[in-house]
Amino acid sequence: MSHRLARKQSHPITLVIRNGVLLALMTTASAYLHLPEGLFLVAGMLIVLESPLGGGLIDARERALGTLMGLFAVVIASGALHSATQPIQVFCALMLVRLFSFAIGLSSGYVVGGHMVAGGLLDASSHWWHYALWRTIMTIAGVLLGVYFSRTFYTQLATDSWQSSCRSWLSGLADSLSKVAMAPDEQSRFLELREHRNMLRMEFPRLAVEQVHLDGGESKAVMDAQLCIQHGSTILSCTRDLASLLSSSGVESWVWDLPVRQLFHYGSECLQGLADDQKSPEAARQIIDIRALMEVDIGNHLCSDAPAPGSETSLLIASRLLLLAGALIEISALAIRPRHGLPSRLRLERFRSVRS
Amino acid sequence: MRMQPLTPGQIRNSLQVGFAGFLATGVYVLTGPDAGAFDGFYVVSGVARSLLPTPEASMASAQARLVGTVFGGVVVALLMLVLKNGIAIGLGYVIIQLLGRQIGLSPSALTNASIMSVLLLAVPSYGQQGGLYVFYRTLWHLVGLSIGMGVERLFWYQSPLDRLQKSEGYLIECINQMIGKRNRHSPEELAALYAEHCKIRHLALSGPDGLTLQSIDAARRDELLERALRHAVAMQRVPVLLREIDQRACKAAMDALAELPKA
Repeated sequence: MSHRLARKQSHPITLVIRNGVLLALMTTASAYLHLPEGLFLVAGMLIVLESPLGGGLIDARERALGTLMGLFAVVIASGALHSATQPIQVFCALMLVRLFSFAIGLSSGYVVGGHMVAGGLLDASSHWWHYALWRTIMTIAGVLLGVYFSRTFYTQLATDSWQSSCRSWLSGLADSLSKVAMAPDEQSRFLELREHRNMLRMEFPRLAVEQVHLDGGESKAVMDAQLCIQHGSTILSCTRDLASLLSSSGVESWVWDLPVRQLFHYGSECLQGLADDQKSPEAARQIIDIRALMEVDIGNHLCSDAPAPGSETSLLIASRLLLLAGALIEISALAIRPRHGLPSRLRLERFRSVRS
Repeated sequence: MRMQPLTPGQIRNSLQVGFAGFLATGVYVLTGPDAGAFDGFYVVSGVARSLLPTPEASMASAQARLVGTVFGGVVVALLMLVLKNGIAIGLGYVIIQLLGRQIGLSPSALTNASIMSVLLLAVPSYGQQGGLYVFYRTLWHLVGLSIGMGVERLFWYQSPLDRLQKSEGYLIECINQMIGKRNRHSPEELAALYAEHCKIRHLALSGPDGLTLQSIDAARRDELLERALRHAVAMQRVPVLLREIDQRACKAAMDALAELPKA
């Protein structure tokens, strides 16, 4: 599937080499400078570098805060409970790490907090304060270095892979819409598109965090991405519903008098244009006209006489057609393209890559 | 950073991990001074890595830790036969990443394997132990992870079928609220809840109760629930004039669902 492909390609060899070189340099520097617990500086940096910038920022937050929660737990367990046995100390410390982490909304950082407890209470119990404090300092320094390097060298943006995946999803939607009248009820195709949508939704926080980090506030790219998922979902569910409704019995003749095929044609053109970053203003205009026409026709039908038995299907089709047209109008106003507000260094790199 | 109120599930999880840590430390203490010499503290690291939001996540994390440790350990131990300096750390990382991807290791397993490159080559005492360090690190982690996952199964355990029924119950409650125009969730939130429900269903189907879920009644339940959900989502999106049609269709699906026996 195309979105799986996009995920696979998101870690090119240049990044592996970049990480390997930085790992070697930082480990050597840490040993040369005799940094206390310098290993955690390298580990913190590596965790951030292994993901695209957006994911790295989320991991950095989790690791830094999780370590800090671990420090608090070790201080409480070793300080206030210094006379207790080790199992009791570990019981309290591990429990506190989770409670503190949940309270501040961490989703995975408590694991590294637990590692701090293991190291502080069992491995370095005689010098726990030195170990826990320096481990925390080095981890925070490491994740900060990781973020810096991730932004500076061969930057990989979560936004780019998200947008590429989103384009492929939109292209799939365009394809489904163009075939809805010809090959109805293609359920497996719709389920695949739904899975792809769920994946985009799952990856969205990385894009949002990255954009806020780069642009320092509300970003149009984040808003557009969010609206794209929202309207794209509406288009998907309408297309799926229409595929089964149009092939069922009980569709009245007035439904076929509506510009159904034109809507599918221009809708597909509009979505494909968005996917290819070549918007089609003509298609968008046509959809606005089609929607206005359908609103009048459907309104007239609703006002003219009470729906005859069996017209529930026709009304559902009318409802989905209006909804589909509305979502297509909304989505046609969006832009799925490289976002604005890149730092000057990244802009320069992008410019060079475009030129070459 | 805003503080969040703790849920009963989070409090239970904290107690579980504390108890698992207590047991693991008991094992560490009972093993005697040798445990310290052989990095026995990793037993508690193993516990900290288990008891994740779902048993499946704990299992996946455990596998990634063990497989990554062994794979990274073997690669680095072999590399150390020819090179043992700073360059070897970077080279080890690159080999682990490229080779690991070729054999299909997960990103999490690769991260665990990469850490081995730093541990074995940057910490002289670990480097001297070589294969023994990899063995003891893996062994203690295995003990800790087993204790953690054992405690996970022992207290407040919910099978995938239990979770599926709970998730279905919650979805039904949300849809009924929508029919009664007391919306708690937006259409997007409802679709996300259903996506989560589908994941649990997939797990339950591959679990011990999979056969029960393949019955005709269970398939019909899923079909009706999905139909009701699609109408409930559409209900909030369609023009007001046409909303009633979806509301009726949604209610019909919910009524049919209520008549079916539970999974």
